[in-house]
Amino acid sequence: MTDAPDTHAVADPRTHTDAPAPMPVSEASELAADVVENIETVIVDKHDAIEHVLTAVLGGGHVLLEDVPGVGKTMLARSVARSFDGDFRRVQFTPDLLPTDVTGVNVFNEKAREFEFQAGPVFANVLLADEINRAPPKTQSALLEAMEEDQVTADGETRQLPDPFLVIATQNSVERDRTYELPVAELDRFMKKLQLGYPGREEEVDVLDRVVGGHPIDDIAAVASVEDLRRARSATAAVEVARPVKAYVTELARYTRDHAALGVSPRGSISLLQAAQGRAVLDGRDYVVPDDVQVEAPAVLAHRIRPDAGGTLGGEAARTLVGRALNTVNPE
Amino acid sequence: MSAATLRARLAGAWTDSPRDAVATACVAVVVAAYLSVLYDVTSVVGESATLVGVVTGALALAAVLRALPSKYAFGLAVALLAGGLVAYLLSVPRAYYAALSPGRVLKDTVALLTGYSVLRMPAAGTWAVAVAPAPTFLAAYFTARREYARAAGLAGATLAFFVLTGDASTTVTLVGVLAAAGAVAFGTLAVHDAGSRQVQVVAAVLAVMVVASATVTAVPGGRSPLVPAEATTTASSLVNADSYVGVGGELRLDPQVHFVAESEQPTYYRGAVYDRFTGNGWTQTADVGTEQGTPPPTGDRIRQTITVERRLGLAPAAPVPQTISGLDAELTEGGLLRQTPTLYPGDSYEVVSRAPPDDPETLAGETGDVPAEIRDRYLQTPESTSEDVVALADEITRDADSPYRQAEAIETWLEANKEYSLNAPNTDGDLVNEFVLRGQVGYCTYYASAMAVMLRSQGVPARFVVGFTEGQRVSEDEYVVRGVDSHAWVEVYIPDRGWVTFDPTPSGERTSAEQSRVEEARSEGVDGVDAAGSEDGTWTPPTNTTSTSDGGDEDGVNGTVNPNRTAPQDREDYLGTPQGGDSPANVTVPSNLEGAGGDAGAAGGDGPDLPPLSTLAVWGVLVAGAAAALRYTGIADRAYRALWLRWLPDADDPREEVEAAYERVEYVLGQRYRSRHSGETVREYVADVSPGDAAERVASLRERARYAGTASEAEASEAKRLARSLAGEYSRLPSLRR
Repeated sequence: MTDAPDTHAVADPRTHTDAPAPMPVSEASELAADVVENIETVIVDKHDAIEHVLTAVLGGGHVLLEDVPGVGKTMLARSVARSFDGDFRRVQFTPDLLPTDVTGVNVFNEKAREFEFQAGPVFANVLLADEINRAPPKTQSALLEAMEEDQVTADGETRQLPDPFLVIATQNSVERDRTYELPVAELDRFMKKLQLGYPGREEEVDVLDRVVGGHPIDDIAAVASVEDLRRARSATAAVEVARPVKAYVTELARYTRDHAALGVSPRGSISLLQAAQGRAVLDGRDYVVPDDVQVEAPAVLAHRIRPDAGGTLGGEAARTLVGRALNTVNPE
Repeated sequence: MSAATLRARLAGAWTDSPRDAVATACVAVVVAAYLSVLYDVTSVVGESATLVGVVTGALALAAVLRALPSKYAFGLAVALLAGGLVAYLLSVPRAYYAALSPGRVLKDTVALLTGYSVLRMPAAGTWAVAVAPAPTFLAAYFTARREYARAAGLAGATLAFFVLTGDASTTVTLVGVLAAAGAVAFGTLAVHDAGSRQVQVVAAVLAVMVVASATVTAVPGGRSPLVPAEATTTASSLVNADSYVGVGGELRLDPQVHFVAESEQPTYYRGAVYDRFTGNGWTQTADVGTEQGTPPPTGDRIRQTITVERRLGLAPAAPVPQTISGLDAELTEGGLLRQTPTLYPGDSYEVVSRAPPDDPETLAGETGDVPAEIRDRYLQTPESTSEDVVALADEITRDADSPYRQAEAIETWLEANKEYSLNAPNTDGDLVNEFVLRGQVGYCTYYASAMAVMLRSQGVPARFVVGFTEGQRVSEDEYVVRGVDSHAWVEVYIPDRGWVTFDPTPSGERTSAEQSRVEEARSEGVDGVDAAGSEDGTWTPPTNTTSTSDGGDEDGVNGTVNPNRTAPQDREDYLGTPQGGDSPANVTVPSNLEGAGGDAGAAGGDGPDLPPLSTLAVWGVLVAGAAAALRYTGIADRAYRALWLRWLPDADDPREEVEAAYERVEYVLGQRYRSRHSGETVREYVADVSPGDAAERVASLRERARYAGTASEAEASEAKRLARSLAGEYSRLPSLRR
């Protein structure tokens, strides 16, 4: 038997012991559709990207947006955050950002004569980590623990993060010289890495049309409660993944390992299945089909693949390899 | 040529393609086909070890000299052949090559090429050893050089020679021809590095050759190994002008009258004499009867007038003819009638014969020397003769002190231990082994062959004779002889006396079998059963005054010749002799031999007999070719598909049924639109080809069954129904088939 991904225990925020009762899939699907519609009032012509973010949210993953500045990365993150009524925090990552600036710090309260914990921005339902690659690795790794474990440790004390906890990070694909490239381990913790790209000609006109004279982000309202989101995530976690689908995902991962210097890890396979579950919910199904896997695979897998030894992760070659894997491996 | 290139070439031989291997194997089969003919010859006359050695040498020579330019190789082969033939000529009797002339050589060659068996040549074994190396060397040489067409042509031509001499059986010929065609075909494929489709075509063509050979008969009497052999020997008579007489098989003789003889006393009528036993038949060498040194017979003179009633290829006469009138025939040194013209009804001739003396005491006292020429010719036994037969003959003749007594002992033993029946089994192996050691029943040729071989094994010259028994006596000196009276017996050479007749066949059973056959033919109204008043019954000497006027039937059974009288006069006393306790008649087959019958069963005793290897090979080619043709045309695949499409098995799990139904649907869609690409999901595929509601419904049922794990019985039967209707739709539209 191949190394079936479901045998690896990885903390899944959606399966906490205090996870709420799942809502019906149809309801979760409607909720997701509402959120997508809501976001689309702000972000023009990015339906696929919005859906990808939503499946990540449902699947319990974090999202990395990478593109040139000014195509709406931050705007997308903000509109996602504001579609729910939860806490939204934003951290602008800079080279001098310290880990405690993210996680929080113990401050001595003169009045009470004791230290009290000043929670950092990480204690939020949605954290927008802007230009994450500008912070030094030490700061990045502070975020790493938060993303993987849903908890932070400050001065030896571990504190639980709120549920849901979602990180949407952005990074510039230009100005590489003054950045710290994200470590492999951290990249692997992002469920997806998305590119937005420039809008089309007509759509760009629409963008200008909407923005001039009052930005729509200011008018956006929450369409779902945090409680709804938690229940939708529970529903997603319950989506059926049949053995053939697991085998298919495994075969895809093995293909990338056979054809690249660094292929997809079992954690990557798990992420792909979780994303596919989100995709199934978006489609109103309570089971995953190979088509879900195919739609999610490029965004989930490409940034985990290093095509050439010594080269960088992701990139055009990695996306081509994922495409080849999809064209070669037969969905059973 | 340097040693390095030679080594490279040799190494190349082991890395050739599979096509080369097949072509080489085919050439090997052709070579084996003609060598098997030669081997059969040498195993009869006892030079097979030499043949194997010579052939091995030729193959080794070819392997060593493969780098030789073909011009020299060809010259070498011609030299080998010429040298072999010279050696052969030196080995044949001086008289033969003294008479050698260009005309004689030409005549002999033409005779050989028109069905004159190699076995009839004097010193046939030496000849086989002489001619074997040259073509074998050349065939192996060309094969080693990957010139398969030349190799196959050469080996095929050699085989064709033996086809023309009549020594290669139909099966061997067919195998050889198939292999030659295969060698040329696969050799060509090897050169062009062809694919499996071409191999399939070749296999199919070979199969067509097999079928065609079974259905289209260009050669009269040509018989395909696919058609089972006729078990019955449908000879009208054992006695014919053929140089070969087979021993085994069920025999059904002709009840019609062959000739009427006027003779002073009842005698056997000798037709032909055979000197070479092949294991299952007797052959006449070309110069039989020409040997010097047979003593002149000194017995009674017998005058006979033979009037022919049916066409005869030879002239029956009592042994040993001295003078003959009314017939243009050659009388050989050894007293055989040869070169007789074909005789037609109404022809008549007169023979005066004189046999050796018939006094047993005189004959039994003769222990003199046997002339060398007679020893050379009449002591041959095939290599297949079992040691056990020889041991048994040793045992039987242990107390016999002269050739006559030895013959007597063996004759008695055979008569006492074997049962007469015309429905005797036939075998592929050595008939004498089979009859003496295991068989219980046989008829005259079995007895006579066994006796001749056993005597020869004891160093007593003996020969196999076919002819007629005395027939039905219709008056005091007139005998009617029919096909059923044809018989086989043995002549044994008694020193200083000549060839003495022995008949080991029990005469009582034989005559009653013959008589009932005549009665049967009479009642069926067959023409020509009677002549010279034979229908009126048998004449008996006047001392027996019984009237023959009533009841032909009774005459048929009781009134025929007294069994004792059917034997020649000189045997009569002997047959009447009561056998003592020590008599050879009581010698039985050693018990260990009878026990060994089980082991020997593998050679054709117990259990189902496998057809010979060559027949199996022909069947193999046929089956392989048919399979290749089916593959080539795709019929097998289509038939399987058609069946598979309609056969939707009931499973315990409705999910499996739904998935099976979808497999059929996807196959039909693949035929109608396109097949699913690699990496394409069913959803994408169905969305792309948009095959209609039914197929889409099955696809969605399959998706649920497979990925959600839910399918109800109703859904399963719906999926099956839809799949069947789609499959039916597909088959009804021939244009959609590929």
